[in-house]
Amino acid sequence: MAAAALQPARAPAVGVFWLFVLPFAALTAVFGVWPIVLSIQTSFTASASALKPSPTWVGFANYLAIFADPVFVASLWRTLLYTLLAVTSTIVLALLYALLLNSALVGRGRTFFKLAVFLPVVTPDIAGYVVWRWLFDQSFGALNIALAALHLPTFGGLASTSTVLQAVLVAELWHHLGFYVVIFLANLALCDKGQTEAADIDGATALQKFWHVVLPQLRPALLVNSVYALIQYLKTFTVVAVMTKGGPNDATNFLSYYAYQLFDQGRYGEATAMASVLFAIVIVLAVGLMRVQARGTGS
Amino acid sequence: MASVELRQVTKSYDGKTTVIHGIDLQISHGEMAVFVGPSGCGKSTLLRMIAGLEDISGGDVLIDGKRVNDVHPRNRDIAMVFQDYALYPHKSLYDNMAFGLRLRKTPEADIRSRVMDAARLLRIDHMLERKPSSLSGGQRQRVAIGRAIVRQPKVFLFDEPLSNLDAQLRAEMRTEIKKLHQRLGATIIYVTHDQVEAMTLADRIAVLSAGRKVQYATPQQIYNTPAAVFVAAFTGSPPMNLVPCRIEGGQALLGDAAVSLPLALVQRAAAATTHTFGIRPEAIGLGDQPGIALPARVVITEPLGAETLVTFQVGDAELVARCSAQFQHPPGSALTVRLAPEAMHLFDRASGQAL
Repeated sequence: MAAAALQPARAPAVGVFWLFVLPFAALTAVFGVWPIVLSIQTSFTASASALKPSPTWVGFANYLAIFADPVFVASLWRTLLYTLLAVTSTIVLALLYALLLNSALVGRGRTFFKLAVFLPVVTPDIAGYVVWRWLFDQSFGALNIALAALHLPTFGGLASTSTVLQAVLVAELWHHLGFYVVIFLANLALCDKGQTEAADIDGATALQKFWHVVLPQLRPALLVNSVYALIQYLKTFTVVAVMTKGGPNDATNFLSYYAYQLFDQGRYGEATAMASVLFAIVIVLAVGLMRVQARGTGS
Repeated sequence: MASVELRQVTKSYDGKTTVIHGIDLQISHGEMAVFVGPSGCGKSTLLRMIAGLEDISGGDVLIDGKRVNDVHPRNRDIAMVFQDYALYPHKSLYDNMAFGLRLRKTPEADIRSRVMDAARLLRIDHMLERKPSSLSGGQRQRVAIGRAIVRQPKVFLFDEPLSNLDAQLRAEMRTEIKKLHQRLGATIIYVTHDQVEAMTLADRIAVLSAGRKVQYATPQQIYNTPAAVFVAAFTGSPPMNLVPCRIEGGQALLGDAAVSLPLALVQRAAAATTHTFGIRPEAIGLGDQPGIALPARVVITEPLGAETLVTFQVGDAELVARCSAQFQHPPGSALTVRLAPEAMHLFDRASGQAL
């Protein structure tokens, strides 16, 4: 009787659920999943016939070819190293910035500093990177002019293989940091003040309170931010395309950019094989990170 | 164990809104003092000021005779049990209880023995490896109390520790806390809005209203000689009968019913121009019991099993009496009630103060 009474009320609710879900599910399938499937499919075909209705299947030949390509292997390691460096810097800096904004140290200026860190996120990335390219310019860049005026050694910027990664990272941090700060701030606002007070009375110093009480409560934001940052930096493309074109001497030739170059040269099979490798790395690392974090929360 | 003293303690926000108005209190070694009052009366704020979690705007807080206004909470040698427990969710129960001792670099063997002793006392020794999320409200509260006990502080502070528990568990934990106080002999300051909790636990009760101390006395004094209408109405269940009256010729006139007052009360009545008459429900008897006889009519009876609450119409006033369970008179019955003269109270209706 009770189940029969529930049925009419549940039926429209289920209908409404599908009404909302289906359009987005369809969009995701058409524009998200299908291109990935096509790309993986293309990676098993010969480049010359890849775009034809009946391509020539070559099995794992493209994969064997790219792993035999020293430029690809170097690019893969470079991408992983850059990602490690960028994710770590992003998480640490965003957390420090959010903690500072959340503390009593920042008084009336809080809104200004929130705005200052978030505005670059809503600024078009290409426009931002063009400005950064000019700032880092060896001869006419504002940074080196300022350093010279202060009689300090000039910065190699985008021209030197030893400094280009730092320069690219600075531009990317400028553009992305605000997003991560907002996520940390939202989590900080949800932290239990009672636990901090209990730690105060238990005798904890500020550092001990952060380590034992605040940081464990920031696990959700740490998880979201690290997974998102991992995906974002593994795919690094725009900053390279705008600022360095992969140079100097391949120093910023990351996986996405190298695949794009091959695609541009009509080497579709190898380019999509690289994209598929990158996709697999993103999935494995992101799922692995989520598992590790979830285990920490659940235990 | 230590004494706690508050001297003209004031709390105001932005220098404008004052929430605590110059409170003086003296809590002796090993005493359990309960701050009681309705929501927003400032009792928790006062406790948090003693803990050091709120700044003190004026006056002094002294622990063991030492002024602690500017001393950080960690250096006050206090422990606090919070209303929402404030346990560390990612730590096991053992680590929750051991945390404060570890921060103080207590040797691990000492920590172990203290935590195990407290856990056995609170009957949570079989679940020390569990996380707080797997515990019931009552168990979490035991852990929070355990965390305070292991520290062996000078003063324990309890901020409405039982208000998140259901009625039965609350009664059980109340008894446990009372036993704990008797066993530890510690100085405890306990905040609650529940007058039953205050009456059952306290050595002395501070009744607070709108940031002011209304009365600070033993539970018996609070109940038998309330200093103000507020205290009389706040304590007892049902509370004291409080009726506006006129005083004429040594009698309190409740409409056409005249209650002869004891001489001492008549003399004190002169201090006020308008009056409120008060009497506890158990001081109203029936038939041949001693006391001032008045004609009354039964309005309603509320049997509670062990006793029956009877509302009588006496003159203009309705008075609730605590009668025996055998009370059988139906509503509308005419009876004679007897008011015990020694249990009568008069209050200044303008100020609310007892006369």
